[in-house]
Amino acid sequence: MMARLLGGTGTVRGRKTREILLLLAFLILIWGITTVLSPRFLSVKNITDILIQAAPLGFVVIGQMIVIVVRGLDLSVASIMATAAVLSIGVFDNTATAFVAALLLGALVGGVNGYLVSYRRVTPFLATLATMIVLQGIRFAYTKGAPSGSLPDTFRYLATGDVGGVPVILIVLIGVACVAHWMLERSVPGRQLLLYGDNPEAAHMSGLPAKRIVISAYVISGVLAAIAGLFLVGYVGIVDNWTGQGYELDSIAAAVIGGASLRGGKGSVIGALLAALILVSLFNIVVILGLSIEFQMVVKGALILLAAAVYIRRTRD
Amino acid sequence: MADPVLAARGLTKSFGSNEVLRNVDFEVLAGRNIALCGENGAGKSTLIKLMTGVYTPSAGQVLLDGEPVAFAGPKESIAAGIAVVHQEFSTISALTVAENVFLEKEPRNRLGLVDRRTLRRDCIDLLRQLGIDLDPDTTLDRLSVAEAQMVEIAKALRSRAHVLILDEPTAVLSHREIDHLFRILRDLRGQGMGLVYVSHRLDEIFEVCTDICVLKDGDVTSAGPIADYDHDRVVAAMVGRSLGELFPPKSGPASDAGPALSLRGLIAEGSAAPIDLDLRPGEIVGLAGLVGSGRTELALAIFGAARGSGAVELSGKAYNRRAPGRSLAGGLAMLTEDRKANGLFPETSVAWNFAASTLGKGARALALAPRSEEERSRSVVERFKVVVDHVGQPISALSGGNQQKVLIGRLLENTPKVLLLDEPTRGVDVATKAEIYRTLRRLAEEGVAVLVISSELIEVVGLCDRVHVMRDGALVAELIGNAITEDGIMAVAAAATGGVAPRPNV
Amino acid sequence: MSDLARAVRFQNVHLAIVGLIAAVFIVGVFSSDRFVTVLNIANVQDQLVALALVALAQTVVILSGGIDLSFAGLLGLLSVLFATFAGSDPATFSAAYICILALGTAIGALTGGIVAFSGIHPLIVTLATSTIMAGAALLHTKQPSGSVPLFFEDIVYARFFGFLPWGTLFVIAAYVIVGFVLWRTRFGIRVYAIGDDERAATISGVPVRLTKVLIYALSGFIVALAAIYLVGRFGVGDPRAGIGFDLRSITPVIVGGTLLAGGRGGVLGTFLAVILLALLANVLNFLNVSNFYLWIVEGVIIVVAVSLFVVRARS
Repeated sequence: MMARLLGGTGTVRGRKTREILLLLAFLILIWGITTVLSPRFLSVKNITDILIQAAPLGFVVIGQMIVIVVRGLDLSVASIMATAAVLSIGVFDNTATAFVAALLLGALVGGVNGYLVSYRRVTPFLATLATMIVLQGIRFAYTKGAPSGSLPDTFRYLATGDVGGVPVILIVLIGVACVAHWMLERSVPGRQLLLYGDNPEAAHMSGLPAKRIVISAYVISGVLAAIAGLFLVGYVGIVDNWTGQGYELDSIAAAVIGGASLRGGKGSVIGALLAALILVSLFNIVVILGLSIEFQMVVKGALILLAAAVYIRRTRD
Repeated sequence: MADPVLAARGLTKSFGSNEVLRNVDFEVLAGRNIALCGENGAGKSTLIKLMTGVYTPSAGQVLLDGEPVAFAGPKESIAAGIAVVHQEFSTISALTVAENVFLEKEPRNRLGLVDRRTLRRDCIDLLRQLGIDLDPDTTLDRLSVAEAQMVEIAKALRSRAHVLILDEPTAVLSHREIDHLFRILRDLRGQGMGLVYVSHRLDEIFEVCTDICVLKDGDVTSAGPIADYDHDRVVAAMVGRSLGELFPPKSGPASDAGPALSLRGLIAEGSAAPIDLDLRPGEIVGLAGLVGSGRTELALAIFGAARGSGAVELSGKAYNRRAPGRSLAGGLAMLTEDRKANGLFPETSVAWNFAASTLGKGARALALAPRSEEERSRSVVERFKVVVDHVGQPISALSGGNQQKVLIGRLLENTPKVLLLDEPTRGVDVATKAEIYRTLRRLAEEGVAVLVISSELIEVVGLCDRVHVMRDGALVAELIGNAITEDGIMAVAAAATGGVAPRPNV
Repeated sequence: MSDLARAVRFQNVHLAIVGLIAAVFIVGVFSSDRFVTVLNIANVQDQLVALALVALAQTVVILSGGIDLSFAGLLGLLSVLFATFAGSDPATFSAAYICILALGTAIGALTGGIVAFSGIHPLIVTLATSTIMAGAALLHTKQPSGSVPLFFEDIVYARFFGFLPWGTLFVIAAYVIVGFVLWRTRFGIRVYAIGDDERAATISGVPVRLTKVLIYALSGFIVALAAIYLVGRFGVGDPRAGIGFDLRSITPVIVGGTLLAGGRGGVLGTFLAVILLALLANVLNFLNVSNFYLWIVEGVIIVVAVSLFVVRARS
């Protein structure tokens, strides 16, 4: 009975389901510990805060996970976040235009990444490292190094406002996550991503559009990073040149904790989001314990190693 | 007769309840070359691993110069003078010939530093002794596969050896390269070394070996001097049944219908001449030739997975902008030679593997239809008797034969009118082979045109209605009906090259 | 090809980099009178010492098919620890010096051990250890703090003939030694063997795990040298000293012709690429081009370099 619930023993789907349950159990454990330590933790308000805090990383990690599925890696996401926010808000006064411009920028950079990886056969690590550095240069050259400062109220509203008590940012994230989940698990393009990541050569021989698959993965990542950048500046309240710093590595860590394999072909939206939530919850636990914030980095590093070790053990079995 | 250098007496090996080798006797004599033959899974590599200390026997013993030995690992057997050239290369392409040959055995000076000069000199000496003409300072990535194989042999023989075991050494060599390899082997035999030659290629065995030992399902079914054998006797010992049982009867002459696939002046990578070829519905055409003669490249070019120029017609319509996706849509499907490298999706389920080239089937807009996918794959599992508990299991859990059945099932989902099959029975057990042959014949009877690339002459002879022989990138002969014989094919395929070969009218 | 060319793993790309260095140098000469001055030339060298050292460490790791992203955390941690314990007299200084080198080596060995024995991708392992060490450094001190003896600062700032700092000699010595190790020791051959084909290396009896531990230990040792140098240069230990060095250390390795996949390349290319990048930054400065444009140039160089290598490898 249990086996059926988990999708059957020994099946691919069953393995995936068990991984997600494991993550969920871990999240509950963390929340449980936090509640014991500080009973005030388990309030709707506090949980909502954690979710909002985790949301920008949530967007980025979905994109990062999809890129990792096709055997890639996107180091440019943080740079896209900052550049999209800085340039679009700096250039356009109209919020809607700025929003569209940011998404287009994200898509463009993702397209360049994908082109370099698929057509020029540049290692994903180096291709996205290069675009990361170039974007950084463009951004700083545009702002001359100074933060561009003020932010239209509409952005602040998007990041901090709510609709009937539900924060806008969460509505958007859940919407994006549902679409991404459906795409990866239930649609033809999603299956193409997974198959390509599992064996690019076999995908080519099976008539799958290899280059288009790779490019679209990076475009998705770029667009989601741009969205995350806009929400993050809205949440923080200032447009800064270093917006999103650290998100490239955090998103890779979360994707891996969430079950994506750097060898490609594996990954899930739910796992990635749970992992992002776990990272942010750990941050919270450190604060509640009254420990110095830096302690969170130590815990995070240890957690990344632990998670990776767990998955390695399972794939070997 | 002299005492054997290396011998197995009553060797038995079981893994759990699975007995893979039963009471095997095997002798390697100085100055002789014994062939170890058998189908995949017959126990050849298990026997080798038992004699070199990789495995420990469940029963029986290994004798070296008449004394029982128990090697704790390959290091000990190497130290005892047993050299092995494995099927999998151990050469490293970034290192030079000298670095490769003496890897982990580099000569060092008193300070522990690698003595580059001695390294180079030792390598030159060894290569000269073996009759191998290579520059010790060339990195391996500049060498051909055959030359890398030579380096592999030199590496195995860098310390004094009495026995040399070669595990399928010619799997990747062309015939000229094989000639060179055989010359070296005869030299070594002349120097008094005992050779073991593991292969299932009969023509090679008859050319270079002096004795033969045939394994089937873990038993020695036949052994003796090679002179007492002919092809049929070896095959019977290997397969355990006659050829007639293995292959379905051939059909009559092909229909008069127009060609399902026709090539006009196709030039693939490495083609020596433009290639013209017609495939008619209902016939199984063999593409024979030695490895490296350009058969795979030709098939890939037709399928659109590799570059090629020239005209292709598919069911009478021009098909010039070739790509795998377009080929599949147009009813042209291809099975690849290397299942692991470019056929399987190892981490995914049987159902996903099966449906990989027909993702859109039953899909509404972009939404997959997982239920129909599962049903379709279940029906294939039943039809081909694939041994699997559940189509959701990872494909990597299946045996080679079952994996191959799933891949063939994948191809048939595209309802192909033309099938290109590159080594369709490689790494597949005999029962599955027979099943694949029957399936292909049935497809042909349903009107599919089938092109089979195969290095197994028995297969080409037993299965095909018509055979084209390829040599050095060109089609050099066409054999039909009774003219299709192993000797006939080999005569053309391995003929000395140079100049334009006359096209025999057979 | 001569033995020397083989020993330094000469590639044509090295000539191209030398050509670029010459070109940038000429642009520099025309851009400002102050370019070819003793002061400026010494400046360029001061700028490149730390980068040259971490890039050297990264070269060895990348040659073996790995990657080490732990430099940010490791530099920060070793830097604050060294400045804390160096004290003011030669005795405490030497003790701290040796301890920091030992600690760097030990942390490297531990990292290598995790990479070798867990089978986790080195990118993930080093990312995690870097985060842990950065956190530890910040827990130790949030602000730049500590000090080093004056005589050490004097050494770091001393120049032979006015333009040749100790640091440069030190970097050259480090490159020569590592280059020699790669060419003349069994360890060196193993680095290339593992980087090119780990499976074949294993079959050939190369002790893959031990070698990996040694490789990351060597990397940690060299990074410890860089940390000590940085403390000497700035006079304090900074927990953020290493920020950016993780990714920056990769650029010169790749531009110098070492393949990220491992097995091909060598330290000479890295050395030349470090000079090129430092000179480029200096000249752009004189041209009044903001440093921000340097980033754009650097990114483009990576893509161009890598694309060229890929095309070459295919043909």
